[in-house]
Amino acid sequence: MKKLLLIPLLIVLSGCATKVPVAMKFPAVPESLLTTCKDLEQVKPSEEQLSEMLKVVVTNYGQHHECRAKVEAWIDWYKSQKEIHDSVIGKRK
Amino acid sequence: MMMWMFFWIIGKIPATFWLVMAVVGIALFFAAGILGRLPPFKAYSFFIKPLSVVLTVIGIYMYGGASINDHYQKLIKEYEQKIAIAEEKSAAVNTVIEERIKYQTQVIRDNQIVYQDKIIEVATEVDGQCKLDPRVAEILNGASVYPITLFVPAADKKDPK
Repeated sequence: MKKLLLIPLLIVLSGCATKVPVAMKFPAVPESLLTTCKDLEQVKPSEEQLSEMLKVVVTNYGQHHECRAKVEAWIDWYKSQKEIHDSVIGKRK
Repeated sequence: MMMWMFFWIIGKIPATFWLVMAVVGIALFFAAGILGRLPPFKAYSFFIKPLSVVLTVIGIYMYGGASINDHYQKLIKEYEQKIAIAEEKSAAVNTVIEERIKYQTQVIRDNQIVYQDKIIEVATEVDGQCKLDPRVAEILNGASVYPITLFVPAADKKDPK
């Protein structure tokens, strides 16, 4: 009989375990960060002029720099969004 | 539907109502005890006592429930406000990053144009001094190919025929 009394007690206590029904949406990412880095340009196999090869090298350096800027932006985006997320949810160990 | 209506009505009743109900129940219990000593009211006290106990128990139980509900409602509002602020901050961060990427890309492309122009300036002189061996292009092109191929599951490698 005493054990039966535990049932309503459990039902009453189960109300305290209810989670708060509020969800946080996953943050959006800037569109410019969602494009992959371009393939590097190639020198024509029959190319004999050094200046043409240099142009390709300079273009490729530029592509690398653009890609690097994008990676740095991703790192900053992640750090900032994590900080914002932690300020709402709290840091988890 | 009936249950939903019941809970909706219960939810609309403020917590203080249940507290007042419990206090009234306790007051009635003591009043019934006093009235029970007076002969003309003795019969009433017989009914009032159990009624006051029921009122007190329901009042305390519902006051507890209403307090928890109020607590959760406060928490929900608090979280909703925090989330709204966080979403604003997140959008602001995205705008800053988007602007920065646009600016940086422009600087990189301008810098590239500067160096392309420098090549044009010295092209005749440089090309006159050196003629490229075909192997140079081959080596450079080989190194420029991205060496990481995407993982293709073994099943997909089979001939589609």
